[in-house]
Amino acid sequence: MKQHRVVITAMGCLMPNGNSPEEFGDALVAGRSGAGPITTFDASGLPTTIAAEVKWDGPWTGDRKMTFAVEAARQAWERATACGSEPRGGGRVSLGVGLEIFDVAKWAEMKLPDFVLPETLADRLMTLHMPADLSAHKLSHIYGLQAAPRVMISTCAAGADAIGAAYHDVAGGRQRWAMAGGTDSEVNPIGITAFSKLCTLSTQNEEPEKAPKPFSRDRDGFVMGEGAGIVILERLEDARERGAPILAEVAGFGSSLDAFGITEPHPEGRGAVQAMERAMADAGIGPDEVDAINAHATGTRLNDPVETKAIKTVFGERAGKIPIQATKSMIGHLICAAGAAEAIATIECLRRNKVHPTLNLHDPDEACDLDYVPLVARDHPTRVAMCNSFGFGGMNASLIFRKVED
Amino acid sequence: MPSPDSPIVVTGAGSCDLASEPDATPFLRTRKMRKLVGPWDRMAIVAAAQALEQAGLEAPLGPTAGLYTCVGHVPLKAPIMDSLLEDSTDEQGRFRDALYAKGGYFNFNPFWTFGSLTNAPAFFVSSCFDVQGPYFVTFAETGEFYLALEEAIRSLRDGDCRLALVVGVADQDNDMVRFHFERIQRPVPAERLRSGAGVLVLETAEAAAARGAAPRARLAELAIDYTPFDPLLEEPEFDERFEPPGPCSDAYWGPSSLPMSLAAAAPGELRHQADTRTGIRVRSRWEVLA
Repeated sequence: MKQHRVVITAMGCLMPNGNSPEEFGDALVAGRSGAGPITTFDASGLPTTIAAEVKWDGPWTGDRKMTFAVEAARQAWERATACGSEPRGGGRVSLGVGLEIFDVAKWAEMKLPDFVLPETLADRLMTLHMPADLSAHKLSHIYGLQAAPRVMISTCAAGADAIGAAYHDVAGGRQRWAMAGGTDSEVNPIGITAFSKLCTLSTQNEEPEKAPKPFSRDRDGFVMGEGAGIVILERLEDARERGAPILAEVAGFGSSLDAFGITEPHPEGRGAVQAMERAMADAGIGPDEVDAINAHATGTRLNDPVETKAIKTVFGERAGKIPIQATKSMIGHLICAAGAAEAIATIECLRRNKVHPTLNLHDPDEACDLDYVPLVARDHPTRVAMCNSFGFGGMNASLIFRKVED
Repeated sequence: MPSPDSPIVVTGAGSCDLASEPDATPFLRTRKMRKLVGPWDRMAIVAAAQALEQAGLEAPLGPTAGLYTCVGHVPLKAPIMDSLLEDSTDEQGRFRDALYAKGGYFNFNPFWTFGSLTNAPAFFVSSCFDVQGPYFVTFAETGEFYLALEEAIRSLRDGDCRLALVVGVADQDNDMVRFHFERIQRPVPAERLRSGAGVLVLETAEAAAARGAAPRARLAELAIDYTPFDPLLEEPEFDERFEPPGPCSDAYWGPSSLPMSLAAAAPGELRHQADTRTGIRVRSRWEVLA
């Protein structure tokens, strides 16, 4: 039950093509890809040797996921408090966090006769794999948040689900503010293998920046990405009273289950349609009020045509007139952080009245016949934007962001 | 629209433990799924089927049913991990990336990816019973099960769904989970780890009455508190109690303990409380009616 309008007052991120929201926004509008050869391990010989990695030389806390989350949260908190006051009342962390992939090199080490478990708790928890929920507890501790953190593990929709759950908390009056988003890193031998064996990863290894190719006829899968995105959500009235910058309103959220295939979407996009319609109903808007869409757009054979079909079902004849951007064409697929990264991309573009380009779209698939803003960014006055995350396991989430006029 | 303080009732509860070798095949939507379904998926499906039967419901549940799931730590058996080391280590037994590309990589079975997907139990329950409503998937222990329960209650009271399946499932009979419970500050011995699933069908009292469903239990009290802690430096102490003691009192069942206990509870009152390793303190009281 909505009791309050909810706004985003700050963002922070570490992305493959930018280490702050401003850098990320500039890179997206300029069409700069973050993809390149894998550097975190020697991937030579694997079918896929490319990924979109974060380029980070700052301090490390725990594993990659925790480091990314801590830095993204630090940026967001710094921006949220730059006005001289802190968000009011109690807050809560809501975080989409990556799957527990194990460290195969550590497993080999653990089989050696001289292996002993490290002494400190931190080192023990980082042995083999670090439990995904620790990043959320770390943020709760740093910022002293007294509500139990939510850890969302709905794979590709987790980041959007985390923002959606935080929005429900603040809108429903259960929390005054929230720190929400996602963090993930699967650029490791097992992460690359797991998705490679499902035939979901692009193998365009020679020219990484030319992969992936969402909506293209010759698309061959996604590029594995990594990173974190965090936003601060507050009640509109609190943000105004304390003089915090208002970046966008979270106007609505909707989620749904495909109940169909674990990796393949419902052929008619039933779940995707339901998520988008529920988000619009929650926002109290109709299809004619959505000015731009940030698509899930993985660049896989199955997903892109189904998402296109779902958008047509929801928006009817207007579908072809709404510019659609595919952030994954530049940063790859951040899995459990994808929804958060793409929410930040959507808000950056909303604020700039731009739609960022879908890279590498030279030859659209005939089943993908909407306006995906190929290759070059476009000026586009935008008041309301939708951001979609449609994940493995048939979990679909849609967020609606709206400009807040003074 | 239900009122914000609508009483919440359980109209069905089901439970399943791995030792009973649950068979989910009667509920799978396609034959192909038999290859994909893992132990925790099977337990969740069978427990959900029991809960739905008790609630007088059957598939398809459709868009007004929501799914709120807490899974335990990700299960993985040592032979699978070992197979990835074949021809991938040097003479000293150390893993080498370059060798892996020509060795262990080829042993990776794509089905293992599904076994490691943390949302797989939720997917299979949604698929078997055609649950199309909103969802919430979290991890990994007793405290987080309460967060799924809390979200289900919010969704019911906000009218986001008319009935909510609340699932707690843990597969702890494997090397990866045993290792996790060995490395923590206060280890849990392997013989105390159990694998099971519990599923509750929750509805508002009005919704249950409207369809003529008899409540099996009524939620009388629910509390969730939290003290933030640095997870790299400390680990809050774990303590879980049921009053009266039930099937999950003498071992560690993870997020499945409360729903499994409710499924087995006799008429009367069931109280559950836990201080958890993740700093979440939970308490609930249920009036068990039938």
